[in-house]
Amino acid sequence: MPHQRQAFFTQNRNLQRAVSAGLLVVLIAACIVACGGSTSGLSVSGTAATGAALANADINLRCIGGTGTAKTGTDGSYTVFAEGGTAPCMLEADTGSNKLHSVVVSGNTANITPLTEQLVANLSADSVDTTAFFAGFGSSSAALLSADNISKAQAAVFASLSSAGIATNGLTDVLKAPLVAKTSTQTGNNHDQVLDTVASTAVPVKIIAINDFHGNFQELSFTSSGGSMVLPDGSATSKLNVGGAAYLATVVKNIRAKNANNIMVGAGDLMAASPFASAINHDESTVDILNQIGVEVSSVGNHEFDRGITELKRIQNGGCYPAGNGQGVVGVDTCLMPGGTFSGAKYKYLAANVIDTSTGKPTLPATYIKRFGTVSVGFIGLTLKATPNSVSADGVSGLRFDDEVTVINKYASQLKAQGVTAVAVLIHQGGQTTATTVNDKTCPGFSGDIKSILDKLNGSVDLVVSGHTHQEYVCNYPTPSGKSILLTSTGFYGQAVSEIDLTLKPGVGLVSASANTVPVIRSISSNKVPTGFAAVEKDATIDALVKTYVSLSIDAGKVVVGSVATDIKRALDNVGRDETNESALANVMADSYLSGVPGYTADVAFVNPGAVRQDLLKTAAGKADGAVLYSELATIEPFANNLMVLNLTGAQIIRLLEEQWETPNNTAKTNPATKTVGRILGVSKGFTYTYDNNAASGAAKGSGARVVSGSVMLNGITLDAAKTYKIVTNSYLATGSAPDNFTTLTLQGANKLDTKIIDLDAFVAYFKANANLSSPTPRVTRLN
Amino acid sequence: MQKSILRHLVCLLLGAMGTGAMAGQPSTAQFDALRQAARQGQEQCFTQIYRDTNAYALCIRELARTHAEQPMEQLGFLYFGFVGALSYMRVSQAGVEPIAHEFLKSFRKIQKSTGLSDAQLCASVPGNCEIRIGQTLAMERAPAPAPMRALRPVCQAGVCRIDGQ
Repeated sequence: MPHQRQAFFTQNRNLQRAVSAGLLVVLIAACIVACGGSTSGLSVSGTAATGAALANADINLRCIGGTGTAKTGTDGSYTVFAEGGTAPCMLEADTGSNKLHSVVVSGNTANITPLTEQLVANLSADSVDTTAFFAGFGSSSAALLSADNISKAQAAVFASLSSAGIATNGLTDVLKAPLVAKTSTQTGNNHDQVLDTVASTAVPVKIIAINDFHGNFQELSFTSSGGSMVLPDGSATSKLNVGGAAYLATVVKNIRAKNANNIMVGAGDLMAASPFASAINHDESTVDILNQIGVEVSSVGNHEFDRGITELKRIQNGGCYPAGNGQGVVGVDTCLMPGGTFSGAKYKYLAANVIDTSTGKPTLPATYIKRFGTVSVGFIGLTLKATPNSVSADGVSGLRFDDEVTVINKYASQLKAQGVTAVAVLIHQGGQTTATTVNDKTCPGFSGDIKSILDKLNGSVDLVVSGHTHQEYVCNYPTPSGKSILLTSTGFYGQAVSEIDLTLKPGVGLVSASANTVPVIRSISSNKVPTGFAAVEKDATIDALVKTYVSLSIDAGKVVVGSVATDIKRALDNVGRDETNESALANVMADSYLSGVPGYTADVAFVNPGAVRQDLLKTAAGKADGAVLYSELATIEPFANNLMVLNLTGAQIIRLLEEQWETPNNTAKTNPATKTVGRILGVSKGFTYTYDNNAASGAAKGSGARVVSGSVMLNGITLDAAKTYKIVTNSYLATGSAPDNFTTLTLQGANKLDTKIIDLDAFVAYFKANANLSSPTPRVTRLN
Repeated sequence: MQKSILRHLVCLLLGAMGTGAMAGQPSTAQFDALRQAARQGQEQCFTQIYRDTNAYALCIRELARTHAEQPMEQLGFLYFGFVGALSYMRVSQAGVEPIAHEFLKSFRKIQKSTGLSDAQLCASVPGNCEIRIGQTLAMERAPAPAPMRALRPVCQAGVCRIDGQ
């Protein structure tokens, strides 16, 4: 009996409050009429609660034509009036640390609870920022609030409750069903009890992560970089062949099958610096394949900026590559999807710290929210602040890369204040461990640039998915604040995925987090799979797609980019490859270097003979006589080195020439037939010199004397030993650690600058600009 | 992380016990020098390995060269050089295997003169010593790797990719 009496009094009090609120609205309306104002508008009442009442929360009402604000009472009840407003409307309850949303389509009642928040999320895309949805609500988005959509969204809420095993206690309408919230003086009704159960029910969520894929959708050989992984095998180890998009797709499918609450994410460098089959079509193939595997959101990496922000936005939004310079040919190097289209990445690129300096805002979205029934995960995506150091200036023009920590902490706090259950950071920055097998979760000897970022993260961050260092790790990283943050990275080229398990509770947050690195092990006989790991078969759909793109890339390689009037061979004497003698093709390549960097006013270019991998023949199978195919140039110059400019004095240039025959180059390359030794550099047009083949070779570094004194000329003028000349060469010679003994360039080159221009691009452009090229006349004179 | 530290300490203890009877048992100060050198090698050189394996090797070589008169320090640098390369061998980064073999050879020479056991040496760099020592011995048993070669293109139907890049 006392219980019934309390319920009666509670209901009576609620009735009194409702009557009071109604009277207040009537009085306000009367006052407005008396003052000559309009009485039109919409009054909405309800209760804001999460099980417990949301007391003293700000209520914001946005209707078509008007807005209103109010505060909740101690029992979470509210009434709010939007002057001039008509339905549909959206509601927001803001406690200062959490925001919940709701909708009004008809009538004057709307509760605001975690279930209405879920309903609002369901109204838009699967993943929606409900705070942004509310802030941007207006006539254009009002159509989303149709009765039919509300009905479907409500059904989805009940379906998720059912799948989570939460009894609904007769609740059939989360928006309008009476809600009496629990307070210190009243118990909650059946509706409130459902909210209590929701709040106390943990939800398992699975995140599948990759990083540094770099367009490697083809299967890599066992010996290729990224083609294998070392797995623990009891107290020993096993090295297995891994990777390939068709196998990756199966691994992802298998993981998804374990938990419907899943999302696949990336931590940057998913494209660019990619193999020919992807690079030839500006990585559209990679985007298509990752779309179909199901990546949903990714941070940008430094390589996403390789071709500039405009191109990155095309990759995101779709559209064909701009036509010009032989590129942007629909069906050949762009718009290879059905109907000659490219729809762009279905996954959202996030760039929280990449600011468009003209607007002061991120150039791409900063965050992405994914809802899994009663819980949600907010993702923040960003790249390393030092991205401009590894990208051409053009690629990042008009962009500012902000400090990672400041940006993460800002958005993490915002996301938590918006009510997301957990915050995950997708960052293209990483670390390294000293583990020697994959999936060593002790994370031994962890070091690297990401440490200083992790150490300063605020308590709102729950998970960090990283990349950039091409390493693999699963760490529970202890921050100085005492919080342990799960940190993952998967290696590179699609070798593996991180399978991350989060347990989340609505209104509580992250309850537990763990992860495994799952290698993409191919089911092939040479792979002996250790206990605890599994091999997979190819996914047929993705396999077919990979084959299609490889086939298209072969066709695209047949594009004619120039013409020759004669063969241009590596060696002048037609013996094929001979690094000990002047190379006609190396000289043409040097010419392309010089013309490839027009803005740098370079004087001379040098090419190492080893950079020229094939002769260019006028007549060959599969092409018209004299035609030069893209694939031919890509075969001749396949390394994708960047062109670099640097300064050398005339004296240093002569030392560079002497290095051609100094030890150890004198024995590295020899030709008994011509009695020549050493590595002869390709030189650009206008640069000439004479050397004496009878003079001693193999002198110690810095003491060779084969170049005939006074013979070195640039455009017919003797080289000035004291003068500084600007040199163009490739990054292998300019910065390599073992640059074929040409250390004058690496060690003495001053004011080195990476032009970020790829040697092959310069080579192709040179052939496009110079039709009917012939083998150039010799530039080096050999005495004896 | 805590497990790692614990394993590290146990490994160090076992290592010290296991070879305590050996002649020329290194002092605590020498162990400290070894560990500090390994740490220095990691701090100064390890970040370079994923961008440029040769730069990593050069960095380690330079540290070892400048400490030629200090065997424990030199050993620490070279041993870390080996472990760092081994760590990237597990994800098959191009060019690290020859570097791992190079540092394996060079640290072995110095290890002999110091009288340190494998377990003692292993304890200077965090990680699973049982597995790492097994990997080290397996590398020594395996035939010598081919010398590092230049990257080369592998072409199929006119389309090339770089093998080993």
